[in-house]
Amino acid sequence: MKVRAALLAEIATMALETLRANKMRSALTIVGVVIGITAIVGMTALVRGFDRSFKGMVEVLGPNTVFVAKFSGLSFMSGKEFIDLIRRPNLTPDDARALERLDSVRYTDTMLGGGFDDSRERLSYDGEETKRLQIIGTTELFAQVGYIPIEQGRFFTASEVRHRRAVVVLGQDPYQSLFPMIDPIGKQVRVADQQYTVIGVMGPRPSPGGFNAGQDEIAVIPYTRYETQFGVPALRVSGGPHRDVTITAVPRDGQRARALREIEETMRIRHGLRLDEENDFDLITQDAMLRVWEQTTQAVFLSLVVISSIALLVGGIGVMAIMTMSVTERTNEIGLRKALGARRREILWQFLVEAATLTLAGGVLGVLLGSGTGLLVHLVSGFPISLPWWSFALGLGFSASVGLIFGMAPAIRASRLDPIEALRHE
Amino acid sequence: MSLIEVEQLKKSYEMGSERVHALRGVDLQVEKGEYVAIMGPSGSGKSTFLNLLGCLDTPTSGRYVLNDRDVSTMAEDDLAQVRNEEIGFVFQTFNLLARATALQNVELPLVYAGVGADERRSRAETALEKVDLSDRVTHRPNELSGGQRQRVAIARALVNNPSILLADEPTGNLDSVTGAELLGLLDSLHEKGHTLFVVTHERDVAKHAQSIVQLRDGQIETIERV
Repeated sequence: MKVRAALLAEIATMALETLRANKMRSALTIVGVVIGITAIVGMTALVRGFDRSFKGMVEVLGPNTVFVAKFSGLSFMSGKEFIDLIRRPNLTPDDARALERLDSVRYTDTMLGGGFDDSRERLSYDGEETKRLQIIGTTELFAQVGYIPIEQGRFFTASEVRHRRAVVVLGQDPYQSLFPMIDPIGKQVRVADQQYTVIGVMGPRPSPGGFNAGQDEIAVIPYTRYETQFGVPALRVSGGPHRDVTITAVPRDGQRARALREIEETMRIRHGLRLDEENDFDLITQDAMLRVWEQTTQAVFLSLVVISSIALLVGGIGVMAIMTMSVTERTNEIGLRKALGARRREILWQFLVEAATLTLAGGVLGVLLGSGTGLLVHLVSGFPISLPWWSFALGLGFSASVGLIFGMAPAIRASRLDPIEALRHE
Repeated sequence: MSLIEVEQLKKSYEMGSERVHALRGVDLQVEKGEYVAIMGPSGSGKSTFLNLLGCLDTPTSGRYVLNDRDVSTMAEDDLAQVRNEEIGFVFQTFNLLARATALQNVELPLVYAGVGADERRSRAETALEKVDLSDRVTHRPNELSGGQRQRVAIARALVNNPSILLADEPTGNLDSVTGAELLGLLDSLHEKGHTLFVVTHERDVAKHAQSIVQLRDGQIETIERV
C-alpha cells in the first residue's frame, strides 16, 4: 500500500506538469467550474450571513410575544392577494383592550402607524429639520414589549398615554440629526405642526441583515395623542379606509399556547367569523416568522444548487472534451507507458487525477473568488456574511468530483488502449 | 532451461473477413547473454514476433516461456508487470516524454515498479552514467542530439535490470556516425552480459549480433551464426 501511495503522488506530479504545460487550455476548461464554485461559496456566504442576522433580529422579539395585525408579510408569503388583505377589517385600540382582559395575556401594546408612507412626518428643532420619519403611536409598553433599550431619559407612562400628552421618544436617527452636541431631554420639538417635549431617546434597533433599513428613523408618541393629531391613519382603497394598527400581546409565563388560542378565539368572535371562515387577521410569532424564513432561505438555497449544478455540468462537459482531446494527443505516450509496465488502473488514475487536479484548481479559484465577493460586498455595503468552512469543503469536494466523474470516460478509454496500436500512433 | 523458449508460436488477426497469419509457428531458444538480430522483409512477421517477445501481445497459439514463466497466456495487467520487470524497450523514434528531463524519463519504469523516489533517482543516475550521459541529467529531449536521445532511451531500458533488451531499428533515425557509436554501446552491453534482440533491415547492423534470425512469411527461414 505504501508503494501505491508513492505511485499516486508520482501520478499527481505528472498530472500537474501536464497542466502547467497547457496553461491556456486548462484555464479555459475550468471556467465553468470556477463559476459554479464561486456561486456556491459566494451565495452561501451572503445567504447564511443574512440568515444569521435575521434570526438574531427575530429572536430579539422574544419567543413568546404575539403580534396581531390586519395582515403581514406572512400572509403575502402564503400567497394571498393584496386586494383581499386590504379588505379585511381594521384592528382597533378596542381590540387591544379586549385582548388585555384575557387571563393568559400579561399586557398588550397598541401601535398606530408604521406601515405606510402616509404616516411619515418631519421633526424640527431650532431651525434644524429631519428627513421624513416614521411616527408611531403606542402605549407605554412599547419599549418593554419590543425589547427596545432606552438610552437617555425615559419612555412615557400610562398616565401620559391616558392624558394624551405631547411627549416624544426619539429614535437614533432624529436624535443624532437634531441634537448632535446637546442634551435632548426636555427640549421642545415640532412633530409636523405640533409641539412635543422630548422625554427619551431609544438605542439603536436591530435590523434584518444588519444594514441600515431605516429602522432608526423613528419617533414614538402616545397612541392617544397620535389619534388626536393624525387620526387613525387611513389609506383609501376600494374596500374602504385602511388603518395601520398592530397589537402586541405578551402572554403570561408558560401560557403562550393558551394565549395564542384565546387571542385567536377572541379576534374571531369580535370579527363575527363563522366556523368555516378563515381568520381575517394575522397572528405573528417568532416561530411563524422563522418558519416562513426557513422556507424562503430553503428556496434560495435550492435555486442556488440548481444554478451551480448547471455551471458545474457545463464545466464537466468542458473537462470531458478536453480530456478526450488529451487522450488522443497522447496516445503514443500511453502506449509507451504501457510498454514500460503501466497497468490499466495506473493509466486510468493518471488521467483521472489529471482531470480532478484541473477541476480542483477551478474549485480553489472559485472558493477564493466566492469568499472574495462575499467580503467585498460586506466591506462595501456592510451586508453581513458568514464564511463557514463547510462551504469551502463543499466547493472543493464538488469541483474534484466533477473532474472524477467527467474525466472517467476519457480515462477508461485511455486505459483500454492497445499498447501496440498506441505506440504506432503518431 | 534457456532464458527464452519459443515453441510453435502462431499469431493471426482478423482483417475484415480475411484471416491474416502473421506468424505461422516459430521455434526459438535463446540463452542468457546472447545477442540476436532479427531480419526479414516487411510483412515477414518481424514486428509481430517482436511484439510477442516484448509481451505487448499474446500469441494465438504456441508457448513462450521467458525466464521460467509462461507468458503466452497471461492477462493484460500481468503482462504489464512482466514488461516492467523483464523487458527493456528501445524504439526507432526514441519515444521519450518531451516534457520530462532525461532523468525523469529514465525513472519512468521505476515509477511503475513502485520504487521510492530516492532509490529511483540514484538508479536512474547510474543508468545514465552507463550510457555516458551523466552531464545531461537535467536536459529535456529537445536539448539533446539524436544519439543522446537514443542513449537516454537505452538507459531507460536498462534501469530495471531487465532480462532482455529489445531494440526495434535502434539506428533507424540516426546518421551513420552516431549509429555506429550506438552499436558500439550495444556491443559493450552485450559484453557486460545483457541479452539483446535487435530488429533491423540493415545487414551491417545485424552483423554485430551473434546470430541472425531471418524471417519470411511468418516463419524462420534461417538462423545464421555470425
